[in-house]
Amino acid sequence: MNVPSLPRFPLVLGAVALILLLAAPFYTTSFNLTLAMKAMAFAGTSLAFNLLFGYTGLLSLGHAMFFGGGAYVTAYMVKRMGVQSLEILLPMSGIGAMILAALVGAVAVRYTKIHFLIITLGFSQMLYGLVLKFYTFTGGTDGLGPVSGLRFFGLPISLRDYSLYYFAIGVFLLITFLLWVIVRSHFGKALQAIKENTTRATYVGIPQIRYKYYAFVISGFFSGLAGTIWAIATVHVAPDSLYWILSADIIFITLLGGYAWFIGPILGSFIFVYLQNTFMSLTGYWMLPLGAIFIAILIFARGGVAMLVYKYILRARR
Amino acid sequence: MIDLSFATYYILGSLFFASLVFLISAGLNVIFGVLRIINLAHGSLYLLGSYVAYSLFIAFSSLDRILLSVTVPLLAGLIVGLVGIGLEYFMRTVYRLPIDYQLLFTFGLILIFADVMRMIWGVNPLTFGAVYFAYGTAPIGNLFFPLYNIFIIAVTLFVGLFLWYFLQRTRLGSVVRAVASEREMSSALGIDIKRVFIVTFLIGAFLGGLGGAVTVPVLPASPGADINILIIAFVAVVVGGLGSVKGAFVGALLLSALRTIILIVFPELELFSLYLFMVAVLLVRPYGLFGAKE
Repeated sequence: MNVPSLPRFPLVLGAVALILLLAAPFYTTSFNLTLAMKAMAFAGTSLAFNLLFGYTGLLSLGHAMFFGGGAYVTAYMVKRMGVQSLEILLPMSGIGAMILAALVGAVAVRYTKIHFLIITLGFSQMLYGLVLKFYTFTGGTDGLGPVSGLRFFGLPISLRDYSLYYFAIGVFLLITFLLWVIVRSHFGKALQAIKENTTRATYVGIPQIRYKYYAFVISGFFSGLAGTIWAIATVHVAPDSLYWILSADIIFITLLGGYAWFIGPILGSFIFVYLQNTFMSLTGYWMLPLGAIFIAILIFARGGVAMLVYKYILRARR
Repeated sequence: MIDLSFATYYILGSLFFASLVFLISAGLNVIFGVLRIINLAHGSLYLLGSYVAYSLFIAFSSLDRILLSVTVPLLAGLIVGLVGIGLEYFMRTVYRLPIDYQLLFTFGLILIFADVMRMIWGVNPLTFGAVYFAYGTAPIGNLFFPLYNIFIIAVTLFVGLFLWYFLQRTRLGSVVRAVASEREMSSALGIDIKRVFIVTFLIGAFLGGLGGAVTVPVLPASPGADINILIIAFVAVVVGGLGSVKGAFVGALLLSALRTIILIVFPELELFSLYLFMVAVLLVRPYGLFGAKE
């Protein structure tokens, strides 16, 4: 599974992308802004997922439980508790998902490979089963919504004056920055050591189970934050956001973008949402072309789009 | 007396659900046992079987319904089996990759299958109730149990027996078992591994298609049925032990007994309890009830 480590993403490209994102309200429709917010939500949870997959070597098929869990915390607090302040909703979604991750992780991190995958899948489907059936709390198949009338430290937040969009960018950048700090820390290096060779990592004194547990909880927390972006972008939170297909989409996005590069999942999210929407509006079908692209990536470009971009840069320099 | 008839009714209902689960999980398990691939696209093969059977039922609707209920599933299973052989050819590209890549590859196949089936059969649920009604019902006390459900239970028992006979009593079956337990060694002894893989995929896909075909008069074929059914079969397979047909049998029985009890006692916890059961079994026995340690 190893792909040679890549050099850092050129900062110039990052700056251009950020300016394009910030200036989007001036050149595109509010429908596209909602798509961009969805992409940022996926990016947040895929970055968090990749802390486990790309950096620690644990393939989770249950990340929808933290992502959808965070989205449900936001929607539930807005809808059933009348809380509309984003400065409360955002951390509560993160903490809610983190508590869930603390419980699930205590069991899951003792397993590796396919067993880790099945256990995370099992727990996320348990949550899905509960949310689907406890109609009075969760709205069952109808979901919860609308998530509206939001405020941020007293200021009204809506998509009409783009404040909602900029709030989403803020959360997305926060997730990206904090996760970047984490993967570059000693802790992040230790996780990579666990992935490379667990036995050797244990011998040099890395408590591998405990570190995997921390990574799992951190990953859950940031997925929960991304869930808030999802809740405010889609306005209505449905049980789909907890279903195993969404967990598989997160894996898809991460591999599409390239798991060996920190920003890979971000690339993957925007490409995924863009292609999904384009194919859907052009042909009415998106699963066939995206499925084919996914398989092509698995066979021909296991480093994802990030690897292709990297090769292109190398050739341009030469 | 009424209590007894209720009990019979529930037990038959439970056996019916167990049959559905076993029909779907058996093929998944056969493929995993030999190729060590968790074929997520197995749900798609099941749904394809449903759709093909629907089209066959419509095409031959003038014939006797009882006769159709036997011949159509066999034909649909065969067609899906041939698709399975095509799939095997395609899967050869990922045999050398780690198991998680193979899993993701089959996830890509789910997406492709889903759209192709949507293109051919549309999005409306399709079913052929005439076969179901042709069987009529049997009175159990004051209740009526549909005889078609009994037919499905019988088909399942037959499939189970066939698999047991094929794997334990035929020469090809023992070759398949040899490849499943010692791939390199069997290859060194002159067994044509590639041919065994093809046979395995044919059988696995046939079982998936057959399962979809027998159930289409009861469970309508519609988009999304592939992933919903897959995940239930997956639970049964994991509980019973990946790669063990006996495990899939016991897993299906346990799962549906649990489901029947939960549906009576606390229906809200239906889905939750299935996954809780799966995780609980994995915690006690990481390789399932009948699975072999890797």
